[in-house]
Amino acid sequence: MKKIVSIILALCLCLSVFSFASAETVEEVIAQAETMTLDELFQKAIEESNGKRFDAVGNSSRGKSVLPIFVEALQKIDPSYTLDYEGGWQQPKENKIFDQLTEDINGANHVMSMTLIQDGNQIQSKMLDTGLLLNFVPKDWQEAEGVAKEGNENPLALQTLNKVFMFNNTGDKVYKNMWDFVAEGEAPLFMGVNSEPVGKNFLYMMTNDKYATIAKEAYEAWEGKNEEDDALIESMKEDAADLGLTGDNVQYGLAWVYLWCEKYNEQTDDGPICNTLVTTSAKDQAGLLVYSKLRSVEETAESSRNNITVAAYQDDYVGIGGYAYKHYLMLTKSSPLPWTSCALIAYMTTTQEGFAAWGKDMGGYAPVPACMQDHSKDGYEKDENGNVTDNLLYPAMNDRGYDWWLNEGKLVVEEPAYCASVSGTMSDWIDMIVNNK
Amino acid sequence: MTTAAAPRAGSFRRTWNRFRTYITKPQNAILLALGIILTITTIYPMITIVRDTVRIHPGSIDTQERALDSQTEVLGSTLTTYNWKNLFTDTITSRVGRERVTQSVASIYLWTPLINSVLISVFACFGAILYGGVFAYLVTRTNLKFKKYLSSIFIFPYIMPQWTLAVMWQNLFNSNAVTGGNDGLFVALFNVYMPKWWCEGLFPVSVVLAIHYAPFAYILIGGIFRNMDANLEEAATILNTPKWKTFFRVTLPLVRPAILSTILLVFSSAMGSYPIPHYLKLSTLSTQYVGMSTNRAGQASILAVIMILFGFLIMIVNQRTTSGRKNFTTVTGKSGQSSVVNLGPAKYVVSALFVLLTLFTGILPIILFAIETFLPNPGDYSFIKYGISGHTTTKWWLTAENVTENGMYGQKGILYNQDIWNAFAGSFFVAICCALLAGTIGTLIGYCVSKNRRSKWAAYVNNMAFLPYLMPSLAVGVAFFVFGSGVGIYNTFLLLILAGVVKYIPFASRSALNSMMQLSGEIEEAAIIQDIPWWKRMTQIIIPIQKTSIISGFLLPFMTCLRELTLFMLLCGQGKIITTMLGYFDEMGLYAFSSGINLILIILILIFNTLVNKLTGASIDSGIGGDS
Repeated sequence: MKKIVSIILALCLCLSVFSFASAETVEEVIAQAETMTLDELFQKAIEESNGKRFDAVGNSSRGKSVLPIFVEALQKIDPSYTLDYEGGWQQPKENKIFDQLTEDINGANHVMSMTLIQDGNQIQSKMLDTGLLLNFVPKDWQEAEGVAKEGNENPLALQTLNKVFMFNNTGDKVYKNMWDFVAEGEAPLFMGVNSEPVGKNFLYMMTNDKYATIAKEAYEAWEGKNEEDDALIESMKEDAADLGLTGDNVQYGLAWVYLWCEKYNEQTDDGPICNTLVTTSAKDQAGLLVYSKLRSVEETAESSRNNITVAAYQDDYVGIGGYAYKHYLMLTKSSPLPWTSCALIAYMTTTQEGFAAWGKDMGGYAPVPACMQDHSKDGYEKDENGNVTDNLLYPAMNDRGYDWWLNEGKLVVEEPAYCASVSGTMSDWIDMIVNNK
Repeated sequence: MTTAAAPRAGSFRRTWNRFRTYITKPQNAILLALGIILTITTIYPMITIVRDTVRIHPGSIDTQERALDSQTEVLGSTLTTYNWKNLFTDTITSRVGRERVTQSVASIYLWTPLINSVLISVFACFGAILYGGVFAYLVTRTNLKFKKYLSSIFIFPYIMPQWTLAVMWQNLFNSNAVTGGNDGLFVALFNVYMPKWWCEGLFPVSVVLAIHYAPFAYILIGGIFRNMDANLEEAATILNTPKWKTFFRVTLPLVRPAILSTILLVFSSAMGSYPIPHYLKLSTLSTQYVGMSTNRAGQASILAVIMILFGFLIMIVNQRTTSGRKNFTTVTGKSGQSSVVNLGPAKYVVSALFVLLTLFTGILPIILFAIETFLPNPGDYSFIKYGISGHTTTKWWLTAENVTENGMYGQKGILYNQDIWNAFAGSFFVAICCALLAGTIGTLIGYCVSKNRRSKWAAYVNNMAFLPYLMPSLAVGVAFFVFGSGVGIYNTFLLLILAGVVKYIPFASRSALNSMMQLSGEIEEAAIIQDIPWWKRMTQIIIPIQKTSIISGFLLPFMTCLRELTLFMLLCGQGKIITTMLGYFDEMGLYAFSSGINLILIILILIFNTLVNKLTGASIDSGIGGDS
């Protein structure tokens, strides 16, 4: 009897030692995965998740459309591979994604393997500073030709999206300067800064000296300025000091933010803003919205994509043309399927098929050029075979591309660390303006 | 030692025996079990919210530099009083009208939303009682024409998700000149520009809430009008009392409990409403809660606590102003004598007026929903304005593949969209489970409380069951979000069903309690003498006798659940149930999808209501005017 007990105990010991030895932390998996090619990651994913359940959470509902393609790609290697992902891609409402991730990672029952997430400020302060989300940069991404690493590597960006100034051109009004949008009597359409926090991040970024300097240059070129505006800008130095903001031209950025908050007309989403702006009755109305929404407009007597002008596409436009925010991909610290998550992230960020769900839209830019589809001629008529003709129908639809928007369009690009560093004080400052208007 | 222990043992045995005797009665055993369960499901989520107000939230203001002192000061490393201190004592300096101004944190985040919440609740109560009460009187006590039609249509706004009326309000009255954006139907068709106070803020929010909750007042007040003994009014008539005096001195006091019930229920429901203030741009506690959860998560929970306190306050008011018997319904005796006031020729005018009003609140939204699903772009009425029939489309219904072009945002048409049908299935599953559980538990509570009328424990269970209904939906949602996330059941049907059951038990418990109160004890006693077991007494005697009321107790949770958003929006992802999906489509401006879903939802509810009505005789408006 003693012998039997001893044997069982010895076996248990061996098994536990073996299982401890084989257990890898998510950090260790990431470290190894970062040295592997996509094919090697696919192999690891098959070993890890065949027949298992996969759950993820994302701000973009398109994440769920990539899962069947991903599984198909793995089945090309191992036809017996299956992954249970039905209903597994969740999209929480009302900014609850951070709470959901926090509870999942800190709780006893870990479900979420990875996330596709936006809002650099909260990602930095709630997810990265706390170590709840872990960054993974695929080897193929690192080595991809022409990859735009700056600002896209840590955390890893799936894509950069732009929101651009547009205005209805059926009236007489034109907007040639970023300060025109905050002039007396303006009420540009914009999503509420507390319902979509990336809009608030844009306002934080405006106090960064790089963009505040653009605001200064635009202000100096602005024909609509008056003494009151000069006084406002001068007095903003006091606010900047209170808020702990530094930079030679920060008062310009801050003054623009103040005027924008005081004037913008809050809307529930960019969809309604776009539907409004393209109509004939929205004469002289302006807005700041996701560029790709233009694709959704159907031409009628009331609505047309030619009823709007993209402000930055005007040759003599001065100042920022809008702002850019990013969708980031990361693993949870407690990811139940880390290898599969790494493989999926690599697939989404380094291949055109993996990025296809997002790549079909103008206004969204992958860091790896090979993933991108060309949208520079989306405004031209297409023939029966889908080939682009010379007939230009909608000039606003011709996306000038990531580099153009960054350099010529002067997009304000979200930086998580900067946003997190100023949000503590600036958030209240903005809320007070918005709540009192 | 033995001698000292003996009396103790005897005392214990006596207590145990008393307990055993007590527990052998089914109504006592059920009350004990439900009391414990309801205490846990109602109180525990509330405790989690209170705890959340003193928790440290990474990335929130309570972890930032200026909060550090407070954290180290009290409560240890993971708890802090900073959120309370900051909200009630700190100030913020910013700009108002270009001037530098310092305001208290509470004035920005708390007082204005709180005042707005109270105001919309008061106005919604007033409007709902006025509109619903007058209508109830006309339907039950006068010779109004088209009663059956009007009664059915009048409840439509309650069946529809509440924010759909808010979206319709925007589409009707917004204009480029006043609210910015494009012109709504009123400008497009009649060139009428409504003022801003009409389009956004306190007024439209109150009106829409009042229209939404007027059916509630109609059902509650109408129930009393219909069952009211007319002897008192006739006595007043015999004594030559003027009609107006009879109405104000006799009739109104009789419906006072129902009016009070409506006030209490509408007040808490209006206070917790999120989508209507959100769409019509009014800062309330609910909208502020959602807005603050990014940077001031702990303080958002303080707002939820304040909403919960309002629930308690309403319960205390209820306790003080009504006795237990009169609570929330006053189905009185079975006199059957009710006098009908002859409106004379005015009956045609009044009927036409209500046909017109219900046309706007019940029929027009449905027509607009239907039209919207054939518009090429959301809100693009080109085919009406320019008379171009080609400017309509069936793409929102019939697109069979994923396309991003032409406004489909990668969605298939409604008829082919599996996500939409899955969400419908999810909603039906949750609604059926909630209805069955809430209905059964509520019926049991009603039965057990009626059998223990003088028991304090029964009163406690009854109040505990009713408390969640008096609390704003958002507060209950927040409580279950914090609770559900903590135990790992976020975004599961289990959490939705749990929240729905706790919130909607009162529908069934109140209806069951009132019907059981009407039931003479002799009926069951006769069965007990015959030694008929409890379950048989329930299923073969008590439930069949009061089946209409009991089925109503199942029907109301079912329908309310189907169109509920505020309670569930924090508890699941947007594709889980149909209302969160509907909210998503509305927010995105994809009104064709949301309109189509609304249309299907209303039709399904009406079919279900008719089906239940035909099979059992119960329906939402039955017993008032709907069946006359």
